[in-house]
Amino acid sequence: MLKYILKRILYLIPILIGVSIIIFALKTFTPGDPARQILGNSASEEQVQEKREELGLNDPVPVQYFNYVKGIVTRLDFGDSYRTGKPVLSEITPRLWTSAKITLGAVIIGALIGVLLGIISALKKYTAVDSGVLVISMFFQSVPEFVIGLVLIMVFAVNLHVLPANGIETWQGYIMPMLCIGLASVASYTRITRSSMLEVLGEDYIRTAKAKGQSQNNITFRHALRNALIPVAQSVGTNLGNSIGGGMVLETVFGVPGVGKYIVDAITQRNYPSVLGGALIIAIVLTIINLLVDISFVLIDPRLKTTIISGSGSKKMKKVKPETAKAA
Amino acid sequence: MAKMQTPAMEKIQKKNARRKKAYKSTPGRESWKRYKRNPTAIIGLVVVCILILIAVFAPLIAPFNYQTQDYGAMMQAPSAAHWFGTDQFGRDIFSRIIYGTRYSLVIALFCTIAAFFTGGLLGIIAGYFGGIVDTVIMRLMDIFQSIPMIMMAMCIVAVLGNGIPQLVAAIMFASMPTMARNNRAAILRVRGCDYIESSEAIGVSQPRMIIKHMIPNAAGVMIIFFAGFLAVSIMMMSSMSYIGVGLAAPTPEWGLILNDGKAYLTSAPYMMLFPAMMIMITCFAFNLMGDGLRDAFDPKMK
Amino acid sequence: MKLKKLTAIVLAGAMTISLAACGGGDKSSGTATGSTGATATASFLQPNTDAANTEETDETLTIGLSSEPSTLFGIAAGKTENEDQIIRSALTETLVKKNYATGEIEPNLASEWEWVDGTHLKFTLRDDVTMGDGTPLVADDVVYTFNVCKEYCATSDVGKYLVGAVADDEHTVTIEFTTEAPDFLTMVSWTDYGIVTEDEVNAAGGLEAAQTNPVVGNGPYKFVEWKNGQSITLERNEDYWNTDYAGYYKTIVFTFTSDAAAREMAVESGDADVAVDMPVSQAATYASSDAVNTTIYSFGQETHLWYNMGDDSRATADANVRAAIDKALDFDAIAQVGTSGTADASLSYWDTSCEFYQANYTKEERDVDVDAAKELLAEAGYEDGLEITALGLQDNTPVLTVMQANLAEAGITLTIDTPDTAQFVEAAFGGDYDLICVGDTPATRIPPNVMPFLQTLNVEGPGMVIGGPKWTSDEFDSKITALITESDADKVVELATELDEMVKADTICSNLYPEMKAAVYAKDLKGYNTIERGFIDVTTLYK
Repeated sequence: MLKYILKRILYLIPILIGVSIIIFALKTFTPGDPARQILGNSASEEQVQEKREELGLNDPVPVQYFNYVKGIVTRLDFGDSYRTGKPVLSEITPRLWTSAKITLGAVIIGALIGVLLGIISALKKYTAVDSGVLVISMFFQSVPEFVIGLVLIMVFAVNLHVLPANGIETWQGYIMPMLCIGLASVASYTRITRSSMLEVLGEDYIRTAKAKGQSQNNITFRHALRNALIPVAQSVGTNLGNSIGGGMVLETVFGVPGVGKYIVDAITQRNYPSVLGGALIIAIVLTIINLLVDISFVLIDPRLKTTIISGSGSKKMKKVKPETAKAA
Repeated sequence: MAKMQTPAMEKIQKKNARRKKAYKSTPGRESWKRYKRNPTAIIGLVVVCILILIAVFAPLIAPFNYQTQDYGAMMQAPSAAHWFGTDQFGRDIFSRIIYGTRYSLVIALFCTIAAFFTGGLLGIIAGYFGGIVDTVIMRLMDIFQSIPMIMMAMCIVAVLGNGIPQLVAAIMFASMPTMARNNRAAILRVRGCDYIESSEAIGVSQPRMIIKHMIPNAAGVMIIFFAGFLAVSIMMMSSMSYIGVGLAAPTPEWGLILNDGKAYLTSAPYMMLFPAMMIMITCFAFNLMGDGLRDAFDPKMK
Repeated sequence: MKLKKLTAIVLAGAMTISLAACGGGDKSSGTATGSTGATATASFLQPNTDAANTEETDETLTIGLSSEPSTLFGIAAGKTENEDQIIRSALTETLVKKNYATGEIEPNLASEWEWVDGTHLKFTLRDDVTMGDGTPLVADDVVYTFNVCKEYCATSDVGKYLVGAVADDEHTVTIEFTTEAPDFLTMVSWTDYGIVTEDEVNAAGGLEAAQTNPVVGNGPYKFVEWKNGQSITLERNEDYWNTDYAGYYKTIVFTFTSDAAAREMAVESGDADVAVDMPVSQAATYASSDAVNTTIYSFGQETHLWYNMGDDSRATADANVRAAIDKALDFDAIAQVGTSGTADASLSYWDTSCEFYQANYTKEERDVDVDAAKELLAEAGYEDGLEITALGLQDNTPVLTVMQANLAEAGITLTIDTPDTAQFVEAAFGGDYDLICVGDTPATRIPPNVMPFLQTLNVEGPGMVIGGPKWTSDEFDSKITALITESDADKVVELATELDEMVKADTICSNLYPEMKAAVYAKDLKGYNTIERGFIDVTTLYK
């Protein structure tokens, strides 16, 4: 087990190197001189050159990259924001908590609604209710999140005055962003719950339980649901990634000071230390969460040890079906 | 698929015998039969067909030129003359949305095809060859997947600038890992089948194997994702337009029209309503279609 | 199966309708949508007209800014940021103040001033003023502040024209400028030159730390807290030196919402009192709203369409092509779209708020003349059409879209290039365009404001300007300098008119419209005032 955890953590290293290389390459190819941007347009050519020297922009790209990685490894230094001059890490950390709270809430909302709808449609398979559920869950997958966001603001803030239009000064401010991001993932949870419920309901032990005369509710919730939820929970990792992506747009809509808005702003301002730092930190967080999800499964249900720990290739196969990721 | 001799089958066979050409029960035909039985899927297909017709006949349907500005009729609410109202330039929103069908669908199609031929192909290669090739490709895709799609797309647009080809490239790169993963899974399923193993045993060449046997058999699953991905591309485009990257005016892409209207949400909601509805209907149709295809091609999946 | 099909259709229909109904329902709560947004905008308000507030309360004012400032002590960072400017104007005080209702310069920390010679300006300070740290204001504080400006803003307009400041005695100080310009006095009234003491800067942790902890200055409000990414809070300065002033709000909170629609909705929902920096096109649609008050106003900035003349290979280097474009453009439509119907097309290079303004075009001259444009194009050798590009910020897209349609009539294909801000700056700086829309603020006759795009120093020198024709002549340069240094009012008008004629004769640029700024306020708010460059004054609002 420990060996497995260690292996997974080590596996994080090539991913981080890869992510940093990709963003670093994009940074290098992006037109525009960061030094000129920091100093403004009235700066003279000499000053710009001086700044370039100071930022190490005159070094060959591999050297720049090496220095950047060295800074992270030796000093946990992700560079300084071009905009504020402050260390990227210290800017991101408080935002990470904000985003974490919202994403967690969103996952809970999305999973709760999704699982509930999934159960309903599995129990009422091939009926009007079933297709009704399909339409509802798909509706939220078919409308851009920011449209839902703006409509929610209009209804709950402007017309009903029950929730703040933007910002997270009070706890009420979290409700709409969570709801918005959560609703977008409902369809995927519904689908997984439905299919795994149907699968489990057809298993021998359920039939045995039925034969033994257990009540329908008892069967559904004590036996079927427990087993059916495993693939649902395993998909949390994938959905989390999508939720973080969705958060990038929605944090802008709701004026939430999270990592997503930070990165969106940084990209538009060509503030590459912040983009790089943000990308790496998101990659780390995603990987760690996926790891935690997997580990907790092994702890809860030792039978899964074989599926999860034995090779990622076969795991992917058994892990329900591949999902089409929702955009953004 | 083992054939069973049922009375229904016999009837079909008799019917086929009357035809000039014998009816062959291919996976495609079987799937179409299953698809036809699914009403929501049919609705999806019909809506998509209507959208394609709108796109093709846009110049005939649109009452105005999508670019023509009319300063005497700026920001008018929906009326008999302007069904969907006019925008801040006095342009007819209905005409813009009709032409927008063309742009949005074609761009989405290009994005999906591009993603399929990069990410999808990598997935097929990874799935077929397995071993070290698989590991290398999929680890590479893991890296790409660690960057949120919208962030990746934004960074690429920052490098390439605004424009349709640039947007296609951005969405292609961003969606590569998902495409690769899906296609790999599809190939892996087929790979395990007996007939592939037996053709391998009799020494069929590799490219022939992939093209002749594996892709057609995995095609069903791939088509499912293809339909789903069209919806994803449209959503991505609109999200990017919202942030202000991707396409430039006056392209009548729905995301851009929506973004124009967003500014007038409280004062002129119709400006945002109609493009939002078009995006919704289209994505909805693609998703319904995808769902139907899933049932049709892969009954076990549901 | 049948039932399933039916339900699906009904449900899908219901979803669509619910979205439609949702949008439709909102319509009734908003403004009268039926009326055209752009033309029926007579009801927006103008700033600087309400009486001053006399009451003090314990209430809180919430202001929605479009972005979070990166610093709250811009001069120490060597940059000028809009949000910093708005907030810091409440924290610090300047030597003199401009009254934007009358246009007069009024005494503030300095009671008197005098030009010793063309470049030396002497101020006599009030002797009853206490600084933020409780010490009395002395000349050394002014010297310190101006030296920081000079040193840290050497490359920006703030410090570029400063030679230095010298304390003559405890209450008189002389500031020396690099060149002659009587309007430097106006410049000194800008928030950038808010006076701070060296001791309070050190107490705040030095210049670097004061950028995030600006407990400096002796303005009507004091800095309390900056919640990163969320809000900035100020509190009324109970020891404010100017006893004539009353601050209605005890607390001012600034929040950051980049989406303009969301910012406005915050005001409508009561979460915020003011939405700053609203796009004019959007603000105009709120003008007749019952839910909010809207101010739309010009602030002395004119938008010009410049032709790139720096490169002979470009068609726009040809005077006939420039004249053709000028003839083909529908200036009324451009002004209509650019200002959302709140201002008319400009008839001069200069803004109407300039004391030396004179109309140089007649209305008829600005009419569209496609035939004349085609003739001019043919003369220039482009009878078969011409392809050019226009560079602009994304905000310019509407105006450029109009131009695109106008020019198409004359056979000119205009490609609109609206990259993001960073790429725009790069391209505009490098002269990578045929046409570009940029503005300048000529009402204050100081070097960075008066035809900066035609000053030799800016065209060729290190501080190259963003945009403009990338070309100038000695005649332009010397006339501009003369206009800046002239103090005789009649001569100023004469010089300004001559320059205007020169621009017109060669179609160096096309004059478009006065740029407008807009803000949305809660319905019951009063006391809308502005500071320099049209920023809102947050200290004068009251209910």
